[in-house]
Amino acid sequence: MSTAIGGIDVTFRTARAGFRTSALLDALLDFWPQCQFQVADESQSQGVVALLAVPTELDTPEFFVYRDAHSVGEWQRLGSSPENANTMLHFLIEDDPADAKELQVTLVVDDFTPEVSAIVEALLSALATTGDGPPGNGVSSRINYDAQLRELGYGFDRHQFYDLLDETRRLFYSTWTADELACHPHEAQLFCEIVRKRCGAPVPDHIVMKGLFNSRKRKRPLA
Amino acid sequence: MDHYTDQTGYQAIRAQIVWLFRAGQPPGNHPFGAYFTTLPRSTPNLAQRLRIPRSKTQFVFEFSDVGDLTSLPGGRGRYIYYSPKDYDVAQPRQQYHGPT
Repeated sequence: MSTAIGGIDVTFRTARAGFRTSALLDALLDFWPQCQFQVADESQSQGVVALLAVPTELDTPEFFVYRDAHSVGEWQRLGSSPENANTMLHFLIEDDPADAKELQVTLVVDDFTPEVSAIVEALLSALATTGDGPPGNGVSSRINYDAQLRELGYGFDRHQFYDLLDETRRLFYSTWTADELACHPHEAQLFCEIVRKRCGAPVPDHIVMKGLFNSRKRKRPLA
Repeated sequence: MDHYTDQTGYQAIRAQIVWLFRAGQPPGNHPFGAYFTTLPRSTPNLAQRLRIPRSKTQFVFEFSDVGDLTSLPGGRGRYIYYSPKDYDVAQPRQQYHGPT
């Protein structure tokens, strides 16, 4: 079978008002200080530092950011390869079909390495995205679940943890149900690592996955 | 609608009168399926956009779209589509196959 697609697509929404591509690029400089920007339809790239020094707003719906100039050359020469994995981020920005006041930002990455996960977190912070949907009411849960989260240093209750799990699944695995995620051990492992990074606590895999299944049992209030 | 592939894939598909694109599990978080794109051969940075090896863009099968493919969720759904199962393209729909 020919592989006609690669990468992991992460899609999130952000308010149209105040959105700036430069904010995304600025956030990336903390991780890739020599990164290069390339409009998807163009062959040339340019350094992000120099680009941001010019006070004009970028208005391109699709672009790449490479870790450095060497990565630009490698991607041009090889396309996607094990050697250049996780050295290029692909951004697509378009109108949110469900809400005229919001934009849909898609980020395509190779894998959720610790660095990529941290980059995604930084981009989310830069955009100050908001989750959709009201918080769940929660159902009765075993008392020791809250206790376990507290012992691990998580500063909120299980309901907020469930919200975090829901949001993380929607952001990173939007086309997968909790069952499908559980049936893909590698992706489930990555999901757990992303959750740990997002909540800032060493929550074990089994508590993450149990929480994911608990969260879907919650009844949500009618809109 | 286009399907890009390497020489091995090209030889396998073109060997049949009816092009058969087999569904499979792609890397990443995408559904099982046979994948296609509306990006033409002349597209700049094609391999980067599809996030595949450049070797996989050496050959292309082009055929007319009949609207029975599903767009990929997210921004790349503008130009990436898939069929959840093996996908046949009979001769009347076939437009071009060969090197890009």
